[in-house]
Amino acid sequence: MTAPAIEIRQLRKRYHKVEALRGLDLEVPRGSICGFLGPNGAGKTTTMKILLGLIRPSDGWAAVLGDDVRTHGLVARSRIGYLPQDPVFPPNQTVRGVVSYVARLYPGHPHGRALRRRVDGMLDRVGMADKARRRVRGLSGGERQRLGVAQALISNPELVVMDEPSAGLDPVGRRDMLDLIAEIGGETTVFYSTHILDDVEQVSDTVVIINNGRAIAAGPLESILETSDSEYTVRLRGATEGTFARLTAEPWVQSVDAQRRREVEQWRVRVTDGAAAADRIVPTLLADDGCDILEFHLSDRRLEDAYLEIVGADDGD
Amino acid sequence: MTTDAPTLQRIETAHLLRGLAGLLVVEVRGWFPWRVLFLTIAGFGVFAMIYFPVRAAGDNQFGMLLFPFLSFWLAMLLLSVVSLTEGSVLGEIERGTASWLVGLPIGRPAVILAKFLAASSGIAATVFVTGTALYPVLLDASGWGATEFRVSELTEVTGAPIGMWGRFTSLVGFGEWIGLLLALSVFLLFVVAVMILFGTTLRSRTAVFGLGLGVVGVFGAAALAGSFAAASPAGLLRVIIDVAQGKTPSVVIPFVASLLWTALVLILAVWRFNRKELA
Amino acid sequence: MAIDTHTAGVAWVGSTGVLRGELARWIGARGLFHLVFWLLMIDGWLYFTVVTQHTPFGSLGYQSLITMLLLFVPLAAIVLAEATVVGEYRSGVASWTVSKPVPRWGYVGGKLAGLWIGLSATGILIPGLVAYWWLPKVRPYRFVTPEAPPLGRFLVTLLIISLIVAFFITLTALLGTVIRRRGVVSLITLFVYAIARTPPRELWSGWDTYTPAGLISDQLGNWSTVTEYVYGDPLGATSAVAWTIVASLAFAAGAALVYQRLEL
Repeated sequence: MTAPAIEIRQLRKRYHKVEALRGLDLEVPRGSICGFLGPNGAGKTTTMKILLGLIRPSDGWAAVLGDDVRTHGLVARSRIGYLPQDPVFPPNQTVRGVVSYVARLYPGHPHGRALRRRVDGMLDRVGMADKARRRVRGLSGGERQRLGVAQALISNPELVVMDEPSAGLDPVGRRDMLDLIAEIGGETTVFYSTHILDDVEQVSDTVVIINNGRAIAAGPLESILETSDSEYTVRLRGATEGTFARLTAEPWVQSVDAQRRREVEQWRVRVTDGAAAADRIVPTLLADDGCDILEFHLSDRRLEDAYLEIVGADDGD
Repeated sequence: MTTDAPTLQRIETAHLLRGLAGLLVVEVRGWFPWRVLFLTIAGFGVFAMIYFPVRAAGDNQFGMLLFPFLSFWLAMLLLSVVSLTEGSVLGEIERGTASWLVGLPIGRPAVILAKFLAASSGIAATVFVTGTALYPVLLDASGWGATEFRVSELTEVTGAPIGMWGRFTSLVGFGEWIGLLLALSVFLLFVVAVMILFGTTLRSRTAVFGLGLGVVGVFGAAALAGSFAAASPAGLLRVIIDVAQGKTPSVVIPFVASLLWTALVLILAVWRFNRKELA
Repeated sequence: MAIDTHTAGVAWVGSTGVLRGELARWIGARGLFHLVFWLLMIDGWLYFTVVTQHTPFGSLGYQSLITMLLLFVPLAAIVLAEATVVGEYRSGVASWTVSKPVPRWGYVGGKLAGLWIGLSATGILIPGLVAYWWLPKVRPYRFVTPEAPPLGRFLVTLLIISLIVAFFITLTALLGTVIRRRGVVSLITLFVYAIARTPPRELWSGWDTYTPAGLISDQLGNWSTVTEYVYGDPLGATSAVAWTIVASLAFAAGAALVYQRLEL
């Protein structure tokens, strides 16, 4: 059986009195694009640094492509491409120089013209071909990020680990980064952390949510979205108090979030029982002649909603 | 309501002074107490390293104590100043705190001035505390007697026209000793100003460090060679050598020249920093 | 103990990649800068003191050359080693490099070896050989035209100077991995350098036997051991050479060991 791309069991990391990871368990299947989500300070970067051998875990076990990161870290890293958060490169090196240097650190790298062709091809792929001779110190934040992607991919890795790849990019840059992630996801496993939930919805097929050093949700994106409750959007005008009271009294209604703008009210009705709601919500809304229903539909469940719900529930615990 | 130019100027000056005061407190804390303590202890350590073996060797060895101690202590202080100030400006730029500071309403000159004044006060404190504490010990040792010995082999490189043999007979009076400490302090302040100027001009800390050592070497060699010494900070090193040898040095021109050089270098540093783009 | 050949192969590629990257910098613009700088600093300054009348006492050719090499190149080695080890650690470049399949000992070793080779070539070997060529051809202001020592002896002298430079590079690296503050590391190493040039022999008689002080310091009025050697005397401080090599290797190993434990 092929080992998962990443396998973590009861991983712990303590910095003096602060416990950054508290028994993290997670598994990333090979060939997936896995979004690694969590609030600030949840342990995302710590987890990635442990996988890359930059810091040592206090306890637990982690493996990359079947290689234990503690005992076979070097071999593991030979199969990983890594884009750190806020990448730092030798400032006096050229763009081509950085990518060539990284390429030569991996076993089986091409030499001479073949290496040059590979480097040029990679720079072209990330849109940095025209800046190949520019020094790193002269690059903008977005260009540095592109260079970071190029050096992460130059070795044709089996796993690409990216720490907040879209951070600091403008909308066009972000779009390009997402397209690149989707593109490379077809060739390799991608494990990336981000705060931008829209990005995860667009390109990821797997999601792991971490909070307070533990994984609190993990699995295919669809299953994460389904775990949360359904929600209806209703826009009404008129005397809505009676309708509101009737609706909130229903046992299948979890909450009604009402916002008024001039004469129109917009309600977000969160329900616990989708089937009961589908059966009963329309009659409940229409029972009162005093208000007019302007709009009614079942909302698409957003990852943001699911994320806030899951993290909020975990914090409440 | 528009504000007239003199009022704006007063507001700007108030910002500068307030910023300078605030930054000065922060920068001085970087020197006191630990750096000053470390350098003071190192100075005592240098003295002890020379004093005890010489004392054990017997009488008539005062010159073997004073000149090596002054040479070694001067070298230690110069190297310390260069090492500890090479990152004062560039370090802030690399960390990004320079951009943040300059974004505050405190004025760019305040950043440079605060760093210079804090480093100067720390170094001056080190020199005076160490020198004053050691004076009684040196005074006692000066009773050992005179000795003659050759000056360091740097003479061979520069062909310096100083005597091949130095003669150190007795320690100068306390007033002259304070003058020596003052000369040393002012020379070190010049080195601090130069390091700050390099930090505002160059992009690499390695280059700042290397050039700083180079400047120190050039002025040191100039002092020994006797060329252009009087009208430059190198003249202060000659003051130190003369006082150590029991001679009465010419002090006014070297002091004034050094202060002028230091001021000029500092003005250049402020000017450079005002124009520096902090990306 | 079975040797994991695959891991060894990965480690070899990564380590030599770092070394190669360092050496490549010395061949490019950085190397050219150093070459010009050292030629001016060593040969230019030497010419000034030997030939011109601006230094009334003049100076002896090879003795001055050795003095300058021993004075300037170790200082540069300390500055550059600190920038390499501490600077890259603090900037994050070290963390980035070690996230690749590069063993930490390979990173430290490759960086230090590359620096030593590059500085030895541009700061010692080339300026030294250039001086070896022109010194016998000039008429010095004072003294007589120096007679060139045998080339073999001269090259051994340059090698000893290079070993002394290695000592200070590795010492700076060890201190840099432990202390990790730029100004403090260079200050301590510069202090060690100053003591090596003027050791308090009364405190410990072992300076000349167990440290580079036995090679580079001089008793007042005498030349350093290295200088005497280039002028034809036998090398009287072979133990200092041996211990310099041992210390350099120990410092390098210590730096690698400390780096292995660092959290990046």
